[in-house]
Amino acid sequence: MSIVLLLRILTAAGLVILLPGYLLTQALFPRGIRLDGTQQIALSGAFGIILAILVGTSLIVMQIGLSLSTFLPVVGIISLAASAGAWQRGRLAWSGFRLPPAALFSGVVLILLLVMTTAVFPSKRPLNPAEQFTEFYIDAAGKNIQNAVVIITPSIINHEQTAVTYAVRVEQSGQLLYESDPIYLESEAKWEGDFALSTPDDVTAPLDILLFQTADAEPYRRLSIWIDGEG
Amino acid sequence: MIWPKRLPKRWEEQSSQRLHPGHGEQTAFIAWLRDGAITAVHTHAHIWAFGVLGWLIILVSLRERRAYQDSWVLEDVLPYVLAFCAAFVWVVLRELQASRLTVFASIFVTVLRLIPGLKYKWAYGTAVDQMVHLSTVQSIMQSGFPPANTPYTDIPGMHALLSMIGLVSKTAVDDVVGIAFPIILGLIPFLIYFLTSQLRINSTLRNQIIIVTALAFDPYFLLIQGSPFGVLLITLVLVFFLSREFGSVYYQLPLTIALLGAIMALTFGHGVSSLIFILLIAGMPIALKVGGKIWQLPIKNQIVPGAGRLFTFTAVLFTSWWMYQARGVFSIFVNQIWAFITRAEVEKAPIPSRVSELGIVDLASIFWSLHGNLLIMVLLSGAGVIILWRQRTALSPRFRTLLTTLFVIELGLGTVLIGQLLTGFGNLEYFRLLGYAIVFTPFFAGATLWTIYRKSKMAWTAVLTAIVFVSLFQIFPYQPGIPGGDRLFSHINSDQYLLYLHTVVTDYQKEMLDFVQTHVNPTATIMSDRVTKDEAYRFWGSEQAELYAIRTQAYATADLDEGDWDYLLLHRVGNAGPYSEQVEVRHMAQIDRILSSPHYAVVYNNGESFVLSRR
Repeated sequence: MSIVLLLRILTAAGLVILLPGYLLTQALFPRGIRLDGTQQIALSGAFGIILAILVGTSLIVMQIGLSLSTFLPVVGIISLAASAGAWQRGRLAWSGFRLPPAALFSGVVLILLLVMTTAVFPSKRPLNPAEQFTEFYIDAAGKNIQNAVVIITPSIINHEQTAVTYAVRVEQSGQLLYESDPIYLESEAKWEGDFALSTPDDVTAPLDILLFQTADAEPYRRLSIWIDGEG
Repeated sequence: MIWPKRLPKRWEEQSSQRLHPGHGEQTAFIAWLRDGAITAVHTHAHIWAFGVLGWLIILVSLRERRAYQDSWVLEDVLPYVLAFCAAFVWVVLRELQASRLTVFASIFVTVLRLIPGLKYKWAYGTAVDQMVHLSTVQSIMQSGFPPANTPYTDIPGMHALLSMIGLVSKTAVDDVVGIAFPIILGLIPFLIYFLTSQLRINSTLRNQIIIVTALAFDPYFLLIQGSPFGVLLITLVLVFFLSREFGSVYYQLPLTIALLGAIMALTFGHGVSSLIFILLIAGMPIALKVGGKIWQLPIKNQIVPGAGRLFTFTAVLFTSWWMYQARGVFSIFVNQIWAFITRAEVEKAPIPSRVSELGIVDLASIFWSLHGNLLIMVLLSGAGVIILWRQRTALSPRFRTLLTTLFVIELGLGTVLIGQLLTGFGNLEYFRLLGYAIVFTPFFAGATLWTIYRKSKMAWTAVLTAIVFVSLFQIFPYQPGIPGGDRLFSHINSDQYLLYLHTVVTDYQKEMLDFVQTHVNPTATIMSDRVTKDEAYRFWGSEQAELYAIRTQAYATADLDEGDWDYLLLHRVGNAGPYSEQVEVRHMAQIDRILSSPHYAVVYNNGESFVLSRR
């Protein structure tokens, strides 16, 4: 999400709701009825929402489907017809429109202030620790036993927002069974391991698959599986 | 700076008349400066400050964008929001024009409602409703049609509107829903302005009513829900109906067309809202007749037959649509009635089992966090009803009729609400009704502020400031205000809240669900908490989610060892998001016990969310 995206959604809302709604308002209200700007917004928004809901529902219920190529022509034709109606009623004339100098000046100043605020506002901030994490998993089947060899396939996905060097270690009851070489992962990179262990004598104790960040002595993530011969 | 070679003719004429005729462009420029620029510096500084602060909130919310559960919605945004609220009080204090107040009120509520959509990566809300709405909009944007077998398959109006905006802006569904939804709801103050402009009403009272539209703000409106949209559509219907009754004769035809369109939009846009609306207006003609006598309204009151016609048209359209097109919605409604009659077992709200043992302060803080702003609005509205009753002879007949109508609606909603609380119908989703009720409270609450304003502007400023700032802690549900589990259970820590107001969907949960989707066989039985189940439906879509048998019952009773499951989805209380189960089954010690259980293997771990399998 960015300012540009926000402005795009705002513009789209204006095109889908306010523009057709404004034209419908002008077409429906008779000549001589003076609506102030705030009333215009209220009615334009209301008519626009109603029109969009009715057009959208009709396209879906009639099994035509809602897409840019279906609703834009329909809304466009209704808007053109409304423009013609408003023109005929003389409600699209701009000659009577007067913007007071103070309002014009204020509008210009406000836009300048908003642009300046956006330009000078720092868009970066320090990362929160909650935004940094690593996924560590093994295939849900857990393990694969072939010829008294346990094949373990752990995976690491780095969401730490920075490059990290990891190490994987397999232990059983505190006894080291396997330790990987350092695994260097760029931010958002994924690593899939595949290593074989001799089937441990004790199949009742779980295997702990530990993930370390190289700088730390304590395990960063821990998985545990059993070697029960059913894998 | 480049100035136009020739200024608009009218300014030249005006300045020539006022200053020295014949001085031409230079004179006109000086006049322009005097009339426009210099005056504007003094008179519009508060508007600029308000606008810049509102924009700053948008920038800060974008900068603070995150995908983890923080302490509450206003974390890291609070100073800017407080300044924005102060600026709002400042602008409404200085402003006397109803049209400008309307713009300020709309900007105020829209900016505040935009915060969750801007600040959180995934659309705000973890309930099943958000899942249905997001997947419906997503489906329409991708295929042109809503998914089959959802409550909105045959009433896709609201989702069609959001999809149109999404298609035109070419944005992701979470972004378009999170941004477009609050912007659309920002129309409500404008509608109230339009309605009040049809009445002969004291301008100060009108201003106060418009100001209160910015304060009548239910936290439910922050979520991507159907009800807030339904509230907007009901407001449209009522505003067009009442404006048609009270407005100029020249408005009759366009307002009749608008009214018919609004009723259709309500019927096709949100099923529950249209049903509630019909129930509300069913007794309206009689209630208006009685109310009219009490309020001493003119006998030739057109609104009573008008209300009858409104009810008839809406009821016929609604019934036809539900019977012949939206049969899915009809069957859901019938099932709900049947479940209520037969007292079928439904999932209970996560109220701790020993909540009655809580002290009065704890209960009060829970109540405040849930309904503080509502309490303020109810008190202001109650006082407003008394004030308006006492001054009824000074009010115009139109305004009295309008107040009677709104009072009848509020009374009807109150009756339904009390009935729902007493009977437990609809699994006590009473907050839906609060959302409907709060929209028209400004007409009564505004009268109270009006009275205070007339007596003392300083007192009015103090009251308004207090309401705005105190309401913030309920409008944005203040999680730290909820007591910890230690108040009821000695083995639960104080940071494990009795009730979660959090509703942020997090990357921890998303990545964990991605793992399940790609690594777990769809024939597996999955046990999860209710929030995770709803999130699974949201990210996987209902069709794929239903391939897995996702269960929640054993989790809710902490009876996991006995439960029938292959995989257990679990997350820590904190960054990964909320739980909706009772505190006694989802506190941290319980989660740690499950994680270290010798009976389960941990096959996925991202530090906050886990997937466990059975040995």
